[in-house]
Amino acid sequence: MVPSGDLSRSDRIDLAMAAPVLFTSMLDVDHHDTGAWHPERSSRLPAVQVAIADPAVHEVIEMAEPRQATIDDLALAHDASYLAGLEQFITSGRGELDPDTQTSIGSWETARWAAGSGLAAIDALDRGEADAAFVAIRPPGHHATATQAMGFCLINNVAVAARALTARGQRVAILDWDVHHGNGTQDIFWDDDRVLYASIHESPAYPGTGRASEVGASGAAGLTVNVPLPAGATGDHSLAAFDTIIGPAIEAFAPDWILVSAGYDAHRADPLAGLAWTAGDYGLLATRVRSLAPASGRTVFLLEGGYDLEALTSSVTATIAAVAGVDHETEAPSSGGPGRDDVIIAARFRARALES
Amino acid sequence: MISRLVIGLDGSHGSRTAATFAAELATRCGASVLALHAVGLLDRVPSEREPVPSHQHRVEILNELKGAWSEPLTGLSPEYRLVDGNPVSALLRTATDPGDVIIVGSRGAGGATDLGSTSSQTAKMAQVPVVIVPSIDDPAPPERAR
Ligand SMILES: [Zn+2]
Repeated sequence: MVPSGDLSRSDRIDLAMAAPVLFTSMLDVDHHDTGAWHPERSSRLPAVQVAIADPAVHEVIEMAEPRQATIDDLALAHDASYLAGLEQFITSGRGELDPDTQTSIGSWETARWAAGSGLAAIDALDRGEADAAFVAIRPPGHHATATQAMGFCLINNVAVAARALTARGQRVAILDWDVHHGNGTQDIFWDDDRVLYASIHESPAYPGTGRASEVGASGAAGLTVNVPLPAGATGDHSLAAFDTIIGPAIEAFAPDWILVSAGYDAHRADPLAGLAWTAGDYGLLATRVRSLAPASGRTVFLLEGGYDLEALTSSVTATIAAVAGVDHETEAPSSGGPGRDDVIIAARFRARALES
Repeated sequence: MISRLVIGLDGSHGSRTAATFAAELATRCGASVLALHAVGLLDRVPSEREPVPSHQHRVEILNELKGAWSEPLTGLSPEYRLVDGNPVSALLRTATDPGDVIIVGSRGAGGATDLGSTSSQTAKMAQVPVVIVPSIDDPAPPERAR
């Protein structure tokens, strides 16, 4: 959109600074039906669509087409036998992989679109089409291990994207701010020294992993960074965790790319978890990610969880506004909850991992 | 040799059958019993109810685990534990000692692939022996455990 001539001074500055953000949605190819009552439901993608229609960010959005991942793409992060079994399970019409994880007949094709969307975003960023990308996908991925579907996740989307990048010799930092620990992503990159995995999550909570003492295998010690926070923790402690632990870890690692497992279930309105973040907190975190971006066009946000649709909408808008560097009025950041001591403890584990 | 039986319980018919078998095995070999429930993502958002705070939910679910779900284990003084995760990962992370034996009910999901059932996935990946207890008189297809 071309700015009109009667902009206020602040609007002019915003537009001059605004960085285009690529947006990939698989809205038209989502045939992953989890059932009417399931929180990880098809209406989540339209809620993200509402987020980018917000006037604050609408002008910075560059739409990009998704693509379907091939089996070879998926095999970057998963065992071939798992992929064959998963396809067979889904297409034979069975529905429940575990008590949380439902599939429908269209789930296999949809999961391939989800994993491929991250790859398509990387391709588009390679062509210089934008400064960063937001990939709106489902089902989410960060609980899926190389050999196991769980926690609503079938294919580990961020792991597929990261492995596509390391396959061409690049180093990748993954920041996982979904409220749940990304056990699958951690597991896949546990001994991989080309990938840094850093997670902020609620604990105790599903899936039970992600203690601060989990720092990676001996050849990759310190390349897994976990900051578990207690129920009720507010965004101020996540920012402190980013500023004192995760940000320095990413800077020291000097990645070529930053991939964000962008879940929005740490929002205080989310029904599945107990952290107390607001949309404003996501904006502040995204601003910090932007400040660490290795170069223009080297940051991809991949949607993970987020089950309150209004919170999902406002938080995604806040994220994109922050990444683009445009002003945007949103919920005030949260502060004053528990979590301070937990960040200090996580920092100690981090320091110990670096000594060893 | 068999020092502890680790039983996955979720209130289903299959898990009750497994508990009944475990009670007999524990009595015969003098093993201790750990009754475990995996707390999943959906545990706190039952379809018919509003989400409940997680601590309140954990108290409720622990009461169920100690009560009706473990009824066949009465008299064996089992240890009760809630473990976050899906059933497979919770069992695998918990049963790691050499004397552990995992006991799970078969929920009848034994089709063309081994991806679909807790029991077969557990058996495939476990580092300790696994006993899968069939529930042949299961009258209905497997139901979601709540
Ligand atoms: Zn989550």
